[in-house]
Amino acid sequence: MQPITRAMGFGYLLICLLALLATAFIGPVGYAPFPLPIGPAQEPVVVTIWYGTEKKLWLEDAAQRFAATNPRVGNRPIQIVLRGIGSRELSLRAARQEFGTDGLPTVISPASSIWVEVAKSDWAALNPGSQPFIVDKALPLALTPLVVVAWKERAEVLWPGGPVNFWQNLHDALANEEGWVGVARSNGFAPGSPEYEQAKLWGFVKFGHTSPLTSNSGAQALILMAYGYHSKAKGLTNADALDPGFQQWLREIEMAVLEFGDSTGTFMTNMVQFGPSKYDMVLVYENLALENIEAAQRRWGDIRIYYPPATMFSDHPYAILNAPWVTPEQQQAAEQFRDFLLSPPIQKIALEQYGFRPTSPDVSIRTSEPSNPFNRYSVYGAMFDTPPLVETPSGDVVTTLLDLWRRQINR
Amino acid sequence: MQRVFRWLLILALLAPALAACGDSGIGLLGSNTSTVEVSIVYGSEKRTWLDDAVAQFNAAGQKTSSGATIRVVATPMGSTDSMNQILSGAIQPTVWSPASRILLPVANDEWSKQNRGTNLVDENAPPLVLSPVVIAMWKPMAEALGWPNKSLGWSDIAELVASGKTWADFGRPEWGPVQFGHTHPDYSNSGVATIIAISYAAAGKTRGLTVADVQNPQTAEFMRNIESGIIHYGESTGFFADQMFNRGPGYLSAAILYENLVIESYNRDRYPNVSMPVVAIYPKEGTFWSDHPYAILNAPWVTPEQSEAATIFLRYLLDRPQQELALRYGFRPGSTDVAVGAPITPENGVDPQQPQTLLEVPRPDVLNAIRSVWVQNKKRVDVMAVLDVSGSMADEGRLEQAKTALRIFIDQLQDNDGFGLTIFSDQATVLTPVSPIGPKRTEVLNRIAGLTPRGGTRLLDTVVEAYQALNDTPPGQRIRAVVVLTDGLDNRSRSASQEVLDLLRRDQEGYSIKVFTVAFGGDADVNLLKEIAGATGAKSYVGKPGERGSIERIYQDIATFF
Repeated sequence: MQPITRAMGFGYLLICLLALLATAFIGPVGYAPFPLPIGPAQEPVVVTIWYGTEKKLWLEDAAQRFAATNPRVGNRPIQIVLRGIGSRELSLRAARQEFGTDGLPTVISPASSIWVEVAKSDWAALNPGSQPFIVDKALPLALTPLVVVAWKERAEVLWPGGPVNFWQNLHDALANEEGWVGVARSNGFAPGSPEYEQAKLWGFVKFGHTSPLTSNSGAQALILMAYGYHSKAKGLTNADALDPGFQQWLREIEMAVLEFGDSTGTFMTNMVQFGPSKYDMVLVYENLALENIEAAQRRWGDIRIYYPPATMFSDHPYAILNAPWVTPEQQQAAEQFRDFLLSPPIQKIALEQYGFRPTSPDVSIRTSEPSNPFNRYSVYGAMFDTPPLVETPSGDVVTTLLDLWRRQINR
Repeated sequence: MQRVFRWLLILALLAPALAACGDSGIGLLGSNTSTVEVSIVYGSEKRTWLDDAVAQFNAAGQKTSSGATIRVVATPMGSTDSMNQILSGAIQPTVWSPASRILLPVANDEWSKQNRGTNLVDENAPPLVLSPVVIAMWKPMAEALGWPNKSLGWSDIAELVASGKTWADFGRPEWGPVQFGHTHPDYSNSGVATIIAISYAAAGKTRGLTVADVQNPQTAEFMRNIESGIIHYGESTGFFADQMFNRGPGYLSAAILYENLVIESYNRDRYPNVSMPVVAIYPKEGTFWSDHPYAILNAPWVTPEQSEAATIFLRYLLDRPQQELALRYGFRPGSTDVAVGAPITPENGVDPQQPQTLLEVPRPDVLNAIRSVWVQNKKRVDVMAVLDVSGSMADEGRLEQAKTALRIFIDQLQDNDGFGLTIFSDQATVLTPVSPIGPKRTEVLNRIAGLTPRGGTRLLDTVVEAYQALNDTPPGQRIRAVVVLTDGLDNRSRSASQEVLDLLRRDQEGYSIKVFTVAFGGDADVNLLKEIAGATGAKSYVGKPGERGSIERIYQDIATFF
């Protein structure tokens, strides 16, 4: 009997030991001190997305939710790698294959279609006779217009009857040598009036927008100013851009801008952190305005969103690359993630949590739900209806405007 | 067989224990037990907050992606001082967090000249906490000037100091002269902010200041007039706050401080005897923010892992708990998720709706011009150095170390600063009375080199004599100071220590003679020396003869007051 008992005991302990060692190596982390992968090798399909930083929070959130669905191409898991880079920079670098330490992009998603066009033409010029840089058409993921965020008290001195002569009043205020007190006087506030007395303490008019050379919102600002000066909303030409009157007018605005940042997000955080001491008004994306406006109001008092008479959308195109380093599996995986981003639940998150206007026709912003930021922030001036959109000028005109800016303003 | 069985049993019993170790376990396979150190030099204003945060962070033992434990070592240092030390290579931190971003372009400008155009820091480094630069003034004094109905600014303070008016002109003779304070711009951010603001006020501008504006003779005159009201300079903005709140309105009428320090003045645990409320005046022309940027250095000595660890610590500092803690210390949170609230309230002398406008930060070349004008027009000092040459100073080479430090101290004086030297052992000898150092610099340095130790320690009588000699000169025109170094107990004086202290305490004005004391080893009576310095509003130091650079650092620090 004894050898059998011993053998049984021996066998039992052996099984225990094997089981324990197995847990130690392949169990969940925390219980498995030396985790090792088991099972057949499943090399993930990596989708590297170079994107404009404006949608960072939404994309990161969506990528986590996507991973939770255990997405696969065939039996290979999909892994999304996100790299936030300035829109213009990412498009130029992708087309010129300047990858740096950011990996090889499968998808580029700048803030605006302008930059996809730029990447396409760059690629074509650098690789004559090659296939187009982009697979099919780049679908827009979400929309957001450019708006002005301003301290209400100051905006009411600048635009006493509302922002009708939006750009003209702004230009005159920025060019005013006396600063706010001069603006108050020329806009009909007499010395002794509360507005005038307040304005004496506001110093110069401080307007912030990003550099057109490094940031999408800066380039859009420049296009809107050009349209604003010529009082039109379409058909901007090279002649318009080169008009000496416009050039002078633009210089007068831009000379009063203290610094051109690279990041649109920083302007809105600065509004919260430094209040009216740093900027009286900033030109930013609507979604960033919605995200921060309550925090700004809480610290400094009344702040409002103002829509220019005509504006531009950032449409956040999702362009899957057709480049030699992108495999068909990666393209398939990228399509899956794109469809996920465009699915109603994720579009709804873009709206409710991050203030974007959904591109999916199934998600409306005209709801009465209190979670809809366009309801929640309507007291701050957020509106369902955007002003009319200006026509996107041709690449040629954009280049002329940027060159003009580089020559005359850049510092 | 039995032996194998026993081994299996032991292993089976051990296995769960091993498994339970999890990822924090005993390193057997691939785990990383190394430490990565993140060194931070930071503007001393946020010391109380950062000390707490660093201690909590280190205790939590956070790790980098490679598994190394992060250890943060944070050292407070005046902002301009730390910049100069980084640029000279004297210190090599991972992170630089000066009191404000005014200095970031200056640092990049200098760094790029030495390093082929590369930048040392990202000029958009995120702010940790915020506090505006304000004119801190006793509330009744501000009211006497028309505040709050009339907004006050840099130009009003300049005019007031330059006018030669005293508080008697406002019906309050008990407040004495208008005495003003700001820190030394070569060491401290608030000092830089002040001299920029003065230059703007002189030019009547709030932006677009040029080198020509600064070099206009009127700016020099304006600067000289304001600086004439200074009681002394110094490295630490916090030290000014301490002096002002502890000593009262007869000592300092106003000082350039940060908003958070004004809030501190209402902290009765810290300042039990504040005689009047203090208010923050947000200058009408605009001011600067002290926004404590957190800049990870782009320098060859910073490894990618240190950079990663520094980013992890940054995220920790910007998290809600640390930001709420900062608010409790009177800072406005850098994180936009945390609202501004108590203690930033009017009851604490501050206004969360201010400031309403800012001064533009001038370009580095304009800043350099401002500094030169300040150096030429700053308040002059008359300082009597009193040096113990008793026999015991031969021990540990004390006298030789003191001589080296004294020479460095003299190097920092401008030609028209007054310097005198008295040595004492059994007797006191005035080697040279206080007179401009310029013409006699070489001679003084030679005489210092020839000093040898002998005899006893006649400390108190010598201090009194030096003090009284300076007391014969009119107050307010120059900073007046005595700098005493000794290593021994007094064994030759007739004066009793209490008499000496009573004498020093008689003059309670900010313009009083400051007696800085250095206890340098031996039997020096540290407590008495501390009382002497404290009686005059100066600082006392304890030097360590064996420690390299100890005495030099002390004399350097004293020099920041002039």
